[in-house]
Amino acid sequence: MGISVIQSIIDGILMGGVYALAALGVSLIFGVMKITNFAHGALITVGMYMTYEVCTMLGVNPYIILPIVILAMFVIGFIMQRYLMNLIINAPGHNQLLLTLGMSIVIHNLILLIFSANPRTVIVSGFEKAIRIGSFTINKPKLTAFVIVVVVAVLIYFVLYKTDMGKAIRATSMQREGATLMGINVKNVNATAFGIGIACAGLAGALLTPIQYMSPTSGDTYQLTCFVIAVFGGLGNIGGAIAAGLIIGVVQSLASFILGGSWSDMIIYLIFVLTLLLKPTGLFGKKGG
Amino acid sequence: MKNLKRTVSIILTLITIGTMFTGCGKQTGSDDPESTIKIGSVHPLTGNYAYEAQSIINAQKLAIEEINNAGGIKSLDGRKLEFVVGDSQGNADTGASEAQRLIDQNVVALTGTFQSSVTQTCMQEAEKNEVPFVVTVSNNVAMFENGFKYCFRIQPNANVFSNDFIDYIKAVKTDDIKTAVLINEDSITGTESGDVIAANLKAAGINLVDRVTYSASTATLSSEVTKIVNAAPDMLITIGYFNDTSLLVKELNERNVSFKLVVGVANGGISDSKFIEDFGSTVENFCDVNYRYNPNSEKAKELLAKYKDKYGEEMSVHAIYGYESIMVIADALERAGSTDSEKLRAALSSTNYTNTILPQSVGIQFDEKGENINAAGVMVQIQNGEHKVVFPESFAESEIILDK
Amino acid sequence: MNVAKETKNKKQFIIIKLVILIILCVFVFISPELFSKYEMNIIITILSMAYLAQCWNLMSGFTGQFSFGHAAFYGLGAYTSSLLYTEFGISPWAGMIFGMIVAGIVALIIGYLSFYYNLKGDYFALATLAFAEILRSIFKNTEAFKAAAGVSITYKKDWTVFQFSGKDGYLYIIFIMLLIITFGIYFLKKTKTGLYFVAIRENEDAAKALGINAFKYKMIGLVSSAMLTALAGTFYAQYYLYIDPTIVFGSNVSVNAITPCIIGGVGTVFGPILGAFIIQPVSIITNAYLSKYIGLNMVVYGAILCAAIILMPNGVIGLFKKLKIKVLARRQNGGAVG
Repeated sequence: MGISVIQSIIDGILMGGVYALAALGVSLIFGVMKITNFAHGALITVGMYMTYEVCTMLGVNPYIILPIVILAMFVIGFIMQRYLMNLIINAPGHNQLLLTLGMSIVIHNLILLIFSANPRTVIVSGFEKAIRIGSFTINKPKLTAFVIVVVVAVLIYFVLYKTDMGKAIRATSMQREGATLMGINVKNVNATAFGIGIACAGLAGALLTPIQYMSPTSGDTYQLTCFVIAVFGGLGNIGGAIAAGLIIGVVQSLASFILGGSWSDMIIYLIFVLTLLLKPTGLFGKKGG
Repeated sequence: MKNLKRTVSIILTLITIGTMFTGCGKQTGSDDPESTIKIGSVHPLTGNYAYEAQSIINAQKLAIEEINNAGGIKSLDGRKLEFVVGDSQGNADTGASEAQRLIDQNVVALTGTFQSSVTQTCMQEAEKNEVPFVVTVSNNVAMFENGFKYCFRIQPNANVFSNDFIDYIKAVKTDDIKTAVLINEDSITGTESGDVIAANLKAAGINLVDRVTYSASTATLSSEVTKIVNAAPDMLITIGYFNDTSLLVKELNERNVSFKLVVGVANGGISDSKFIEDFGSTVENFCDVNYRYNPNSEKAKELLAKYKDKYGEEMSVHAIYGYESIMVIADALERAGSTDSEKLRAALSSTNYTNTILPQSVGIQFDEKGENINAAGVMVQIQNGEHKVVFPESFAESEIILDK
Repeated sequence: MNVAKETKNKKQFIIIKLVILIILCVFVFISPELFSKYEMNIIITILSMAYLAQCWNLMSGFTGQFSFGHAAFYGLGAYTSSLLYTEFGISPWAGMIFGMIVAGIVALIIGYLSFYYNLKGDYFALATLAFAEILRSIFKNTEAFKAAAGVSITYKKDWTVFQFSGKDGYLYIIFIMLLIITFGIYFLKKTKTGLYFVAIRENEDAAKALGINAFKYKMIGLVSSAMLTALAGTFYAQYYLYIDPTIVFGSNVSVNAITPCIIGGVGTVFGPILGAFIIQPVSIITNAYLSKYIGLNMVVYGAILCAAIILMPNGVIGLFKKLKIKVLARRQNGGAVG
């Protein structure tokens, strides 16, 4: 029994890494623009399908084309924000929320239109068997995803804290009006932040491709989980999102093991509600509601 | 304010009138001997099940052509059948709305819908309008417990699959298969069958060590696999769809878990040829108790060939029920000699359709609930990369392989 | 304008409104003769969407507390009346009232928790979404509520159990429901409560500073909206005679409660109705003509939604108001100069 629990925890940490990456995107976007992105799940799906297509077309390992996916998703995110969402940047907050909802319908169905509903996955050669360490098994695609997430998290930290654009992003998220006065091009900053957020979503999707089977609705299951993690870790707090992702991943895995898959979703929502009620700034949060 | 209100009211009226016209303009049939007899079909042509829905529609079209080419409905002066299609989009409301639309076009019967919740609302609609409804694909047992008079189902329902599973496994298992783990997805499909199996497995001489449930849309089944590994059963029983069963097999393979026997029950993955393509030798000898055509039926073989010829792909097992639904309706029309809904309903009720391509030694006959009393599943096994029926013996193509 | 002219205009105004109302009622009454069953179905769908949107509008449009989880109350209404009927034989007419009570109680809990902890804006919206999902999960996994199988109601041609053989009965009922709530909102705007709602929406802190008990009024908004939404749930259950957790607690319902308001105009009296009358035909038309390419109809639908949000941030009514102001301004300026 003890072994199974530890196995559960290991699985939870690995999946948690991927969740964390997707949630990181949500957190960043909210932190900078105060927008809750309802199209996040749909964009994760885009990342999945993009990876599948390019992989199958070029006949290569999905991990090789990750940089392409990251770049493409960044561009998509940048354009989406700069030329679509920016149009209503000054509209009441709920309109922005709803625009992302509308966008998620469009994206979701574009995928259906282009790729049809047949389920797909990518089998990475050499990954068919899990790694055995003692009585524990470690799923290779999940392990690889975890490693990549750690690398990316460090990279994002670097971008946010060591580059000028990063500083501009952080400045804008703290004080939008003040940032403009300082000569920061807020439009570009917003678009860049959104682009990074979407690149995270797309990358999460790419990493999920060899892990699960995808269908046009696959991303939807992550939509709420991402929000839960982002809020739990503190909206706008990058490190918090990562930590929260791991925690939620473990909670979900253990709940699945002890209570059964159907109830584990409930636990996540309960955590969400409790967080919103008791500590809306999140476990590690620094930004208020 | 006054102007605003006036404008709003005018617009409301205009839009209502406009709505009128979106629905208008469809011809309505009649009992005119020159006109065709319309049969309606509601399936999820858009959405996640578009692929399966299309295969059912294709088979139905094939059936309609066959009947028309053979001279139409002879007892009605050779009137031809016309096929009218509706898209449920996978939604219960939209399905009901489409059913209503087809009923307004005077279809004599409706068929559908592949998804239990959509079938339920369509059945209600058909019953209300007194239009016979023949289910193409839908497992759920509860929906035929409502005392419907106009609804009929040809395929085996979840209880039949579950009971067949128990009977067949009892017959084919070897003595070294003593324990089992049941894993089922948690919607109505998995739960209904799962409950029956869990309750009756003892009767087949097998001890159920654990029962695991999961949500079909999950991204990972690692916890579930851990539980299975812990239980170390001789046999794994799995009830699920294509995606989730594939994910399960993938993760089982990763951890090198094997069983003496793996059997699905109405499993959307194991019975699909793509499943074999994806997993190759790792799923060799997997079994599934599912619906299928009768492999020994000449008519079935001809139909398969015709389908492949016309549509360029293998006919799916779902499509079989599309074909049979049309055949049964046409047969009832012949016997009724009328398109009157009550006469057609009565004819359907007294159906004894023996020219069936289904694995039944007797004809399709309906009980007072509308269920096919002779419906049965068969056990198929993946042998050398192909599906072969292994039980019951009267329909078997091959013997079951039990030692690995 | 002098007082006499104003009162005369007001009287004319009321007469015109009454006339329009009477015409509408007559129109609805004779609709079964004019339309096929399929078309009636469309109208009923539009009216029920408009009703649901009005319920949402009552709370989110007027108090400004955006709810993304109205499906919670819809589902509770549907399940309460349906289970009471199938398990205990209680007529859905009575079951409907129980549904309202259950939804009201749950709304009290949700509202108390949320408003006490000061959840606002996006956080509140997400919390309501989470509550709806929690309820969906509970109903999906609990045998006593029929779990994933859902509740099926046996068809009976009996109006005492809220069933009608044709579409007429349903049409009349949903029309009356819509009339009542629209009237309610129309008069609400003129009452103290209505004013407080709007004050809270525009600036909650300022309202509180003025002595308005924001907590109390937000609760009133939420609970009344929830109770009325429950009625929509019962109506759905009686119209389609089948419900399951995903159908009545799913995000589809919550989205359908919101989109007509966005298109028509959040916080207006007629916005939700207008919105429903625009969206449904758009959806039907895109489906009818674009279904060849799987998914294209929804892409267009989503695109239209996005366009509406961008171009008409205050809905169609908001657009009218803007135009009206422009026209009035031009008239005034024209008068002054010429």
